[in-house]
Amino acid sequence: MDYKAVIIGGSAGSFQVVTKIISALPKKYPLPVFLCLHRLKHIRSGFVEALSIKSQMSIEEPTDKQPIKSGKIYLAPANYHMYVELGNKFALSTEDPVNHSRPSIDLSFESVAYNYNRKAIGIILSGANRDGALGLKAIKSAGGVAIVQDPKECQVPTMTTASINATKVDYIFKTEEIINFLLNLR
Amino acid sequence: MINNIGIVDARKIIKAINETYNYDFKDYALTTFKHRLIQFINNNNYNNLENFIQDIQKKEIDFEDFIDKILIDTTEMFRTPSFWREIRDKYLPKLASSRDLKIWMPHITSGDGLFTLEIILHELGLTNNVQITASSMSEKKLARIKEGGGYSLKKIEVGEANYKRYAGKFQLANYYTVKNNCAYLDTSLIRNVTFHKSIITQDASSASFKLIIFQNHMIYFNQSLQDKVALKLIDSLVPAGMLALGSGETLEYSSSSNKLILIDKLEKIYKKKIG
Repeated sequence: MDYKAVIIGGSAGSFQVVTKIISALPKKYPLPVFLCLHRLKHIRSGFVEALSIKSQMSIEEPTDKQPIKSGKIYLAPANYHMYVELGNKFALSTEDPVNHSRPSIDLSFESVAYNYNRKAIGIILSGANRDGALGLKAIKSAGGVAIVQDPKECQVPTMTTASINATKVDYIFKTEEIINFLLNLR
Repeated sequence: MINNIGIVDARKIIKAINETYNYDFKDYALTTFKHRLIQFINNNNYNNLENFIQDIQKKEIDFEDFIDKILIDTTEMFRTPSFWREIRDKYLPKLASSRDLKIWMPHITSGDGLFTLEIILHELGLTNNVQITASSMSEKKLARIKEGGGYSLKKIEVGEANYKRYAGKFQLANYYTVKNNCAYLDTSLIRNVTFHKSIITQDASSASFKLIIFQNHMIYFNQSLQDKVALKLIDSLVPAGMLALGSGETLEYSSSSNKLILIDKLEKIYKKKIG
């Protein structure tokens, strides 16, 4: 496998898309999948459960310094930024929100780009602000794969459009094409 | 403008700081430490890292300012309201009934947690039953906290919303006044606090605290420093004393996790084993 991790960022209008993508992945998917989704900061429980209903992979919110494992989905916890740290572990932070968001998609993507370089796959989905554009650019600059959901298919296309404007993305995909791409990685 | 710092350069900077000022940041979590380092370097208008390192070696940076800026202090008052409700309803009334409750808040940065705890104690009428020790490695941060915080109004707004979810008795506005667009908490709230300037791993530990609140600081340390700090905290607790971490933190991977029992999994409250 040429890759080490998949990271997916989404906001308004992304929940159903995320659910569809992760429900298509097999239980022993060969990579870890990180989800950085904008969410209400004071609602701590329920999100993992909602995502788990249709997923065969196990989903959890990582704690700080938790080792990263393939075949698992990790959801950025409420009111923390989520990073990949040296030694293939998670790190959390309460630094200021970026683009009004904590977790910030930009910060998560940047740390994935820094740690996995060309072995990272970044995917930006539907959303109503510009978070994620710089993060996807960082993944692309580090040699990784930059994918955005087709703005025409997005419920809210602001985030994907901003990403397309910020960097020369590799693929503009409909949800089904994102799924096919992830299932056919070598 | 510096956009990123590689590991090699980060280590050079950390080494120079340690050699010149005798403060060791090598075991700080790299991602967040680098964010603050980049901010500091850019705010002080350095265009290259060599000049910055030379200035460290010549003692030409304002080191108290550096310590102040490098420590992350962007938490919230009443962050995780359910934790503070739990502390209010389940633990404080029992712990403080004996009038000799000693609480330690190590490594404080913004004072958010300290003022939150003090407001809770005030509303419970327990302020005078409790002695709090608050320590920080930053003189500037301590001075600001002693003056009431001087928080931005945006931060206070977040605190207000959290306080409502916490379901306090009044409004947060009862406890602060605004001067020059900054909010200052009533300093009579912290009359039971002893402040110390100290580095957490070098703090003299005596097993005297029934409760240590140490939320969202461990996340800025690597595992090796987390292990050292955890040991220090455990040594400072009385038997069956309690340690509260942030909701995203855990001692699961720590070398001294066997000395504690996790008594509240959601709110990350640990109890020191007896004996």
